[in-house]
Amino acid sequence: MIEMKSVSKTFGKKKVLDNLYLTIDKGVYGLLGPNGIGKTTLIRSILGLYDIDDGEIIIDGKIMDSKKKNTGMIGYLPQQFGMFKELTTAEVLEYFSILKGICASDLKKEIVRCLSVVNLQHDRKTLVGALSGGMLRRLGIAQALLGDPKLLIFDEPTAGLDPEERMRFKDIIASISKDRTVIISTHIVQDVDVICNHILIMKSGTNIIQGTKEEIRSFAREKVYRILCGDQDKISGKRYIENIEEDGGTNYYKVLCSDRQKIGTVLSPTVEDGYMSIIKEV
Amino acid sequence: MKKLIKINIKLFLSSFVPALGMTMLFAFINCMNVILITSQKRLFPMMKTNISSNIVIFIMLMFISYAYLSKIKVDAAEEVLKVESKGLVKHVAAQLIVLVTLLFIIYINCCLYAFCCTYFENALNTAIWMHILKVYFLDIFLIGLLGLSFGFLIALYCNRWNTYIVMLLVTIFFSPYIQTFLSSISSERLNLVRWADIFHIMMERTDMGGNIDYLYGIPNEMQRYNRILFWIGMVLLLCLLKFIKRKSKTSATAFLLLFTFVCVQGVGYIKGGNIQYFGYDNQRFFYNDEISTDSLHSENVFLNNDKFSVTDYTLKLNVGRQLSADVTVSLAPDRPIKNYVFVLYHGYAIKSIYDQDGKTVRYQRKGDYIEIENEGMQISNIRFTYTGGSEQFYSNYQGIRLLGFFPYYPIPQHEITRVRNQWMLTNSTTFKNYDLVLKHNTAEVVTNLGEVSEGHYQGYSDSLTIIGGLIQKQHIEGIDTDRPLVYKHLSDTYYGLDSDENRQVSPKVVVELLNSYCKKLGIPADYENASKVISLGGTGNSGFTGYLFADYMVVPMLESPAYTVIGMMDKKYFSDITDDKINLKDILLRYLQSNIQFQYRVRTKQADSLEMLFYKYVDNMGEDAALPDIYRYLCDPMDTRTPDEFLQL
Repeated sequence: MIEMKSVSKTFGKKKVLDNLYLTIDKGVYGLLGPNGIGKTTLIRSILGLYDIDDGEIIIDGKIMDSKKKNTGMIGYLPQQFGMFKELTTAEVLEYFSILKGICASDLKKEIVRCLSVVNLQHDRKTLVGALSGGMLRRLGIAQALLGDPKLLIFDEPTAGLDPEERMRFKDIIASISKDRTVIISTHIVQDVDVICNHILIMKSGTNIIQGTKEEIRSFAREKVYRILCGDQDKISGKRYIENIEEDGGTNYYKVLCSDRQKIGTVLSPTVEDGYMSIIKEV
Repeated sequence: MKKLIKINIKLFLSSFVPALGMTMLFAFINCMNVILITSQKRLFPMMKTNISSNIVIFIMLMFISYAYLSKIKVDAAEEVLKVESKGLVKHVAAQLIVLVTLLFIIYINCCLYAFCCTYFENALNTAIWMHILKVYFLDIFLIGLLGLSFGFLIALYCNRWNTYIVMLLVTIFFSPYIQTFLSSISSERLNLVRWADIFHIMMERTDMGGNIDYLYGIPNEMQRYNRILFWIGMVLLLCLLKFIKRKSKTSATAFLLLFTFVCVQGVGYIKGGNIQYFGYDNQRFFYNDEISTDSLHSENVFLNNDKFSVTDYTLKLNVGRQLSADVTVSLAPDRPIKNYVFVLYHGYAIKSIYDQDGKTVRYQRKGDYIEIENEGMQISNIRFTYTGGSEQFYSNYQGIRLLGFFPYYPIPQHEITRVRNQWMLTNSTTFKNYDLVLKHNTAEVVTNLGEVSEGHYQGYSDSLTIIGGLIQKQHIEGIDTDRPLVYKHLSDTYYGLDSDENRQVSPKVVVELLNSYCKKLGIPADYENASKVISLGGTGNSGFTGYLFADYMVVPMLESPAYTVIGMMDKKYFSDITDDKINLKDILLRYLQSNIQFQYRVRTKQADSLEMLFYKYVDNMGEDAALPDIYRYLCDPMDTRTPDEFLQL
């Protein structure tokens, strides 16, 4: 379990996290928020990469700071994951196993296990430089799984991946998420909708809205309308045009509206609708 | 950690730029050494040339280290390593171990060639091997380590665009080029190069000649270690700042330790010591301290004609960074005089002067002269304590060259003088008892005194010479001979004056030549039983040509014996002659050294008018009469005839 109590972090004059409270238990959490809101700062503070200016971060009853960083509790895949191109995938995992303090007798077994989970078992002698983007990302997941940590954090894990790799990623998460806390920080709401059972929406450095998918969807209940293109000016109240769709040769707007509308069709909200409703304050 | 290092070795060897760079560096070092060892087989010149290329090692290792250590950024592996507990530190440590190991291999590689050279030089000796290890440790390993450190620093702080600018600036600052440039624009009033001395980590001036001091070897003084260790520590301190965590005891301890190390090295550098200076400061270079203060050496500094005698010297000398001396002078119980004037080289700073009762005496010092007031006319012993050094007559951890004619201990004014910028004992010099206790760190020490026990010497002589360094004691044809360890074979036979003058000869040949020349000039000297010959070997750029003491001699090489003997005789017997007689003196000595060459000059009409007069004089009177006659004329201050007038009689 992760508990954040009154956590603050400032960079220069900018206060990125401000008196933040958060509780995370077992499960798969999607961390959503606009670019630059502080998602990565939040993650790095949990990891101990940043010293927080105020407050406490407690993981499984232990207070985290940069001195007591990650004693095998956390597996992390950063947004920019790379590894030395001249090493093989097995050598990379061996390297990380040593850094994580996995004992020599368990090393080989652990490497084989992690490579199997990410479906790279046949590529153990492939050089990192020869891996595709998706395979490299899977290698990153494999190193995060070494030592069987109870907390996994993935920062933008599917960014830049093709649909097939994204599907593979979702399957991997599904297979490893039992009895673990997994936090996936992403701006791709569709991925969160499929993979996660809890959503964290970081609206600002001080405010994180937390809930199940249903709870997040409820923020946009009876607010999502499908309106003919051209009729948007007839909308009353605050509005936000989410996207444009085409159906049978006619273009429609999908619009978030604060007030009930007389025009258009009400749609069932998705997680994305709920997210946009929270972020845009509609 | 071993496995981390093993994987990092593989990483290094598989990374194109670092591996290629290191291969090129090894190829360069080995090619250069093979060429050196096959072309000259002389140890010190080979080492000097090797060391002159350490700028290449510095630059290459800086680049290789940067390319290797920056892989973590280039391959985007930094963040994921940082997450692990001390992950980044362990990774970087493993990489640094790999780099330092490769540097160590380079160091051993260079040493092995030098060891081979000791075989060719017939210098298979532990002291020489230790010297090689120490010199290459400073001038190859530590220089390389500084290059590695800079590469590390640049990898941590610089991005792709400013990396090469910083490397260029580092190269310029630490290479000889900035020194040369500043030296060229410096003047006596504005000495810019002195301020750049802190950057002068490479040993040799690139424009300097190739003379080497055989006893000293390649300069390897403590101050040079301090300077380079200061920079290594400073650079690593800046690197450490990147890894320091707030409120971390380990970080704070590491920082403090390294900071203390940097300060200690800095203080050591500023403290300095006695060194053989091979820098770019022309105001300091090349024994200028001997020459620039010449005006203070005038015998008129203290007008004192009172002569006194010293019967005993008790010396406790400690040679570390410089000489630290405690010397007690026992005065002969003659009539007491008002002031005692001693000569002590101005490079020694006096700490105290006491009389026999431990009372501080009043004294004045001007340059090399010390005038001591004999208050109450009661002084029988005077105790001097002082520290310091001279660059030509050095005394430090690496070597000792304290020759008996140099006032490194207080010598009565009338017993020593300076003639044409050279120190000399006068004819008033008397024999004394010497009791010397010497502490030193050089490989071997020889003196003209007998060794009572380790570090304790006693004897009765007109002077005290102490030589320390790469020297060996031998007994050749009945003569105690001290010679450099790095030395060519002695030739089995001596082929005469006009033979190959580069052959090393027995000291007996030198003694016999000396006696023969003295006999020709009618000088009543007998060096047949010279107790000792100390050969200094090559003496660097000091221009030393040899010196005759009452019961021993100090010579440079044992080759060119005629040249050496003539040099000694010139100092010993002709130092007082007037300037107008110098040309004739030179002709006489040239004739002694090689009358065959002299006659050749006469026959081929290359001889000048004075040489022709000389030749006719000798031809008319015969050598046996003419040479002593000319000698008497030259040494007679009352004979004011010009040489032309004398020879035309």
